[in-house]
Amino acid sequence: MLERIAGARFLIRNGTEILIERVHEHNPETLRLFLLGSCMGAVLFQRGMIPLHGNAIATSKGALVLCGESGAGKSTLAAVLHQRGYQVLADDICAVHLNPNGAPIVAPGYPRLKLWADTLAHFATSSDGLQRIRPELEKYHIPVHDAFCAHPQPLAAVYVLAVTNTPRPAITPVTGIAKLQTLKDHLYKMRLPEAHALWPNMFSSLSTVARRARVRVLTRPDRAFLLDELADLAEADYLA
Amino acid sequence: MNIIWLASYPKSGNTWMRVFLTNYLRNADTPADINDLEFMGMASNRDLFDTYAGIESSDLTHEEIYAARPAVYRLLAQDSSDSPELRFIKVHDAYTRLPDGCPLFPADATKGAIYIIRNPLDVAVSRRAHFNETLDQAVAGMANPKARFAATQRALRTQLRYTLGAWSSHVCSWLDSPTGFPVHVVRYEDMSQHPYDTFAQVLAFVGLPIQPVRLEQALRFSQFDTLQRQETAHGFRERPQPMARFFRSGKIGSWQEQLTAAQLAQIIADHGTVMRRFGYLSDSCLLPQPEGGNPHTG
Repeated sequence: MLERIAGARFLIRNGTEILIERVHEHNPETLRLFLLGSCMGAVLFQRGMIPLHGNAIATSKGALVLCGESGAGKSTLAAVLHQRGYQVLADDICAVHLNPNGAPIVAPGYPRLKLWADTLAHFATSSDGLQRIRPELEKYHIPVHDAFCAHPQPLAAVYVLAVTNTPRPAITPVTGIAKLQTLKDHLYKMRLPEAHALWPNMFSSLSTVARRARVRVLTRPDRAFLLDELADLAEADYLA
Repeated sequence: MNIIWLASYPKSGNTWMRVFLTNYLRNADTPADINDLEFMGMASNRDLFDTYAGIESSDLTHEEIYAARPAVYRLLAQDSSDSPELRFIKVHDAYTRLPDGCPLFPADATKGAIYIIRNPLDVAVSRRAHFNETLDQAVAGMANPKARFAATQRALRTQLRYTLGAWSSHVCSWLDSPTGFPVHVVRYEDMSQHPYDTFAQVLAFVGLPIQPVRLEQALRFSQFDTLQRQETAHGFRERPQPMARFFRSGKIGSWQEQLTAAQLAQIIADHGTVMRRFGYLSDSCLLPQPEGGNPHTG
């Protein structure tokens, strides 16, 4: 499947090597997208790190990781927070590892956000001069070098964005054993043949993260941005 | 090969079928929570695709996703982590084939399909409320051979783009194509007016044992007023936002109070052949009247 779309086969070995075999001609931007996405997720997994699917923002209290299903609005919320002066720490993949004291740390990732055309329009930002992530998609790279945090940050909170049919955004704590399940649900998705063998270590690390980090579900209504209200809820929560 | 597709044009009784099946399978003492039904989302659910594809659908074009969907369903069918004997998946897509001829819903992953059909006159009335449109828009939408959902190129939706087509071609796509798996047709009106026999036939089709007491209870637990009460108390997560309530009316034949003569004529002109085939239109042009059965999911 990946082979047909990316035009290449990928083999990731020992968390240190990515071998690429070009199968047929394809766009280098498309190849790069999968390299930085699925392949990097596999590398992190093989290294015993926890790759979460989402964005991370640096705050005075540590890293906020924004997770959620595809389409829930992680990147859009990250863009609002970026506009409010927060530094971007990671985009798309958040690499979490435990330091020698067992504290979860988020590593700096890619200094960019990927935003769709409608989101740019919402921010009254033109796509002129911006590079598409792939020629075929109306989705753009937004460089954030001017507001990028290049240093690892302790993980403070994980917010899971979800779309609901209630009229206003809301925030709900996730507690107890549900925290572990929630984190597991938001690992970066990839198909790894050896995933089963690596799972016991991952489970142990995830349990530690679940104990140490605050986890919340942040819900927003479908089809209505209400971004400021959503960002206000997140800010009020992590500052509390 | 354990997938049973619960296929229907929108607003034809799919939710009701899922509520019934959930109650029958769980066989609990109280009605199943409508916000905790069995069956993992829809066939066009983006998260389902991402989980099994192992790549981000948000980095793919609509065409690439479409081409990858049969492989995703095969992986889903092979997933032994929860080992269900039957895996029910709701589908609103028309049955289509990829450009290379491969069916969107592969036979080697499928045990069968249950196709739920409802009088298009009532579907028009019901979809008007669900999609927050006018009746003229509903009628036109049902006749549109290019009708698709979640097709924007400028944003990401939580559903993948899926093709509906016109109402009658949707029906024929599932019932007349060489799918390679058995398809059992259920009429919404029979679910309402002859529930015991109709649902017993569904159970027999999927190979579940028919236990009369269990069946009677599942029918009671999936009655319209029970669903309405649950929605009033706790909401229903599948209700789209502009709609005041999902379990709205449930009546058969409400089209008589709502459609104008012109709208009625248009629907018959667009879909008369299929309507006749399923008993919704007779040669004398008088439509069968409802027998005064129980109201159900609208």
